[in-house]
Amino acid sequence: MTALPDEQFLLLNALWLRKMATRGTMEENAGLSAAAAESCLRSAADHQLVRVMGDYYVLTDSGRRAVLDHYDSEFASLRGDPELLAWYERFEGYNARFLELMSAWQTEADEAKERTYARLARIVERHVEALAGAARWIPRYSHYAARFERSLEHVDSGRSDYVSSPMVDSLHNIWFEFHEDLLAVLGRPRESLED
Amino acid sequence: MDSSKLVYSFGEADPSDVALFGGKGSGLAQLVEGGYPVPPGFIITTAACREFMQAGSLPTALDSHLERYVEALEEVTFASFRATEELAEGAAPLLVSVRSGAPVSMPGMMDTVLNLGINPRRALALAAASGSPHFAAEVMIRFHRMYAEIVLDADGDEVAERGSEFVADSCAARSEAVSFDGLWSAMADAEIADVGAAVPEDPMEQLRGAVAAVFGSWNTRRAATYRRVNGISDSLGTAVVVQAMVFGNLGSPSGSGVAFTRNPTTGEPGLYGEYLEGGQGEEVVAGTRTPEPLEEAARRLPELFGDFERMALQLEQQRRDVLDLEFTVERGRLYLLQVRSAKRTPNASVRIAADLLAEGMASPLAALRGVTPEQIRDVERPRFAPAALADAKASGRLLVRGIAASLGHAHGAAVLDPDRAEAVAGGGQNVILLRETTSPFDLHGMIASTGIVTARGGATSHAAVVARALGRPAVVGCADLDIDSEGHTFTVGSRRFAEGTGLSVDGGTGDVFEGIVPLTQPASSSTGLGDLLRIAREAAEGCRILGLCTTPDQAAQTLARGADGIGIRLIDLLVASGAIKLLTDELSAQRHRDRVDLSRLDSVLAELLIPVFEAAGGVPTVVRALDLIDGDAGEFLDLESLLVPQPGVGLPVGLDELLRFQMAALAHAAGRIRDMPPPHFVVRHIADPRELAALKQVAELAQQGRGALDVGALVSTPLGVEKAAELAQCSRVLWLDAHRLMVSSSGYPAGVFTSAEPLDEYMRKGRLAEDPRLGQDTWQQRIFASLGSVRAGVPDCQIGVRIGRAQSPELLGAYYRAGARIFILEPEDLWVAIVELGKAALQQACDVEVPAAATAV
Repeated sequence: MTALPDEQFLLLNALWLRKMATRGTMEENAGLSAAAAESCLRSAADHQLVRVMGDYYVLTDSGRRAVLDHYDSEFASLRGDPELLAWYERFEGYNARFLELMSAWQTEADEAKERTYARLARIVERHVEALAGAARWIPRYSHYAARFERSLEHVDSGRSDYVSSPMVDSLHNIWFEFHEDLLAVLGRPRESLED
Repeated sequence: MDSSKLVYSFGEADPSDVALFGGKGSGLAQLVEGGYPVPPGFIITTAACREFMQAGSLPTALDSHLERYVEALEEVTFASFRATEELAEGAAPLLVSVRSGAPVSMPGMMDTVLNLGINPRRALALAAASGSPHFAAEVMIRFHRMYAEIVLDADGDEVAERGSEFVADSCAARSEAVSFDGLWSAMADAEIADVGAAVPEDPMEQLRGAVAAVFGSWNTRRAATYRRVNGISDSLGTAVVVQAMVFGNLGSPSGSGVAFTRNPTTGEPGLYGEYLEGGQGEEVVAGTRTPEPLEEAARRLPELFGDFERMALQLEQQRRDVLDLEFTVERGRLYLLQVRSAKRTPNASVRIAADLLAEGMASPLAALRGVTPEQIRDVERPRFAPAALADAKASGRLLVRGIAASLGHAHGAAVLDPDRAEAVAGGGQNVILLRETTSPFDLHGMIASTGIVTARGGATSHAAVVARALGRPAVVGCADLDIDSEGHTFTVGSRRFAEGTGLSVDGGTGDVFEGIVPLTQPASSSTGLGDLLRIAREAAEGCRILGLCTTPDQAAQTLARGADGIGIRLIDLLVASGAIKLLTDELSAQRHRDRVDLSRLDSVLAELLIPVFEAAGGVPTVVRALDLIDGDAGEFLDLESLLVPQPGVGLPVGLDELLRFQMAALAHAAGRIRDMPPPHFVVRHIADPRELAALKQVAELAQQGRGALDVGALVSTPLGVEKAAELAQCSRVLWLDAHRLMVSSSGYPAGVFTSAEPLDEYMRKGRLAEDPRLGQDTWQQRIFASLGSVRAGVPDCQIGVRIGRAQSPELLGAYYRAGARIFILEPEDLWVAIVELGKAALQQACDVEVPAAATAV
């Protein structure tokens, strides 16, 4: 089990979470500069950790292993931390409500939808506040907060596709990625290498 | 009006003063004025909100006003809100609802606090009056949840959970009565733990807190952004509506219900609804108890429901729209709690619009505005043919049932892997994607498929959320389904199926059928849409609407769907028939000739056109020339490889023979159809009148001894837009390719515009101020300005426009206003286009009748 260099992990993790992403998406989701992303990608390609498909990148099997190994080596010490576990329990509570409200929002008509969105946005805002607390264990989590806030702003400006569309960095997309990330930190990724 | 007066009873308020009383408040004032029974209450004005925003706290004068109006409310309801002493035996306490109501409806505002005024002592009185301590506990929990969330900014769900746990524990301990003190402090503890403050016990303090929270919510981030984006002034402010709560479970006869003035699912006329004897409104909504149909309740209480029906239908007449009414009966007295425009299914929406028009309740414009493009598309959406579906059920082809996750019907070949799904769909086959679960890794496969089925996961799973967002029918959590993606098989029980097996998915019921259940498109006449299409056609009678087609079948269908004519792209015809290869071979083989001769192909192309023209029966026809410059045939016509033998193909009128051959074939085919008006032959990239003149010369040659045709420029470049008026000088019709113009303004490859990414990401990063896809950008305005000069300078020249699938339906109306009267569309867009053009024509007629000064605000 070896750890990847920090920026390398950020980039590959962004790809691991998105599964298939353009360079721009990785850059943004990892919070890296174009130059840093470029050099990480080049080194990842040299080590055969990523594969190019047109404009998109995907992880190779060794790329996925490298990401999961990194989680194991970097975060193993946190996995027994009762405070982090309590934080996680609280998140699971939010998660259940978030998904319930998300589905309700998708299936409801206008007026009810608006009310549901207000509650959904409230949960995201609370989660954003909670992320500030989690940043003491995992500083990069503050970047999720920034992504959530940007998407909330988009929805407020009338772009309702930023609620659940898989084609943009929607609240549901970010939430899903964060959940995967957190599960991997805790050593319970939904996707294992045997999949 | 007294400007220092900050509070008005519903009876005092002027219903027309929406700016002062907000939408909700003036709606209630209007009901009171019309003599309709609503629970009494009062409105705190937007002026008070403005004072609040300036001072940062409630106006000092408001306190005494509130006292006065609460006292008046106590008097008319014979109930107490403020009293600190014990309530009289059997008396129910006065509780109120507090709601926001801005002059303009907008999101992000504080919603509602119900049951305000409850506290442990008053809960006891409510328990006694209702005979149900459990009900009183529920009232208290609901109040805490809303107040905690909205006023205290605490986690309301968490608070309510604590409350429910406390009640459950009390029940488990078989205690005789719930301790309201205990319940209150359990929830207050949760609030203090979360935000360091708890709900106050004093009703007046609760009221002031809620009013301040409503005012404060005017400036939430969401509300502020919405106002900024929609150009609503920050200084409007919101009003607050305070209204007595009525309860459907106090005494007898009491109850609650909801009613629609027409069936919201089918649109069928007649009062439709449900009533729950002895129940509260939220129980009806939540479905925790089963209500009875309104007709049954009316048999028991004929007088009361007779009154109600009269009121409901009278209100529908006044508002000229289908209404959704919430009502409560408290001790034999009927109260209207909510009257609003009813939500309806797309089918109902269409039927209602047609019925309101027929009944004279809606003008043609109002009727057409009653349906949106999305609703028309939904009504048109293919469904399982009813007989075939019944047969699939009867013959035991129901394979598996899961959770209905995303509405709609679809069929296709089962594919068990996203990459293979993309490949199979790319080959033109419908695909049903079958997965254990989905993750972002499946996205490309989900996009490529027409339906999605998963073995695991619920209504909130990744598959369900993404399928809904993509608009794909989906069934999730089919527990009996076993998928072996590697082995390319799936099993249900003991039966094993190979990948590629046909499946049909009903995302509305959760049924997955073995085999293909055919889909049909409902006829316009079956839904009332026919009537709307008819008046839209009448309104837009000056318009000609053409549908694109390639085959004779498509031509017939296009006309059956109401098109006035057809549009054909020659490239589609050549590619579909394989004749494109003959053309490229000829062009390559004749590289050394001085004069290229394609006359051998004249009859080949003519033979392809004739069956389509025959099926169309001589309707107006527009034919687009082959466009090698944009390489619109992609792999079939490679400009680069043709440029070497035939450099002229790189220019719009650069190889006369290529154009002559197309026009000769067209003229020949058209000449074979009796009474067919001369077809229009249009060429992209033409921007100079000289090019057009040259094209006409070639056309004369091509027409010799054959039928006649009309040639024109299909403006597709910025230069063409600049020279539109000059081109119009020598054209009967000036044609525009709106989709191509969008693409060529930026010069990005056309593929960029066919999917959301990468432009979405580009917009997100703020690299463009205007999204070129929305048709509201500087460039689009430039196009409209140029059309303005065409109309001014060459009024006889008609304007025709081709609008693409990816473009917004609003663009149709915009081009209509810019003077376009001929529209070429995909056949799927015809009904939407007819309705949108009808709206635009009627709107323009209204605008002409109303002098400009009258519309100034």
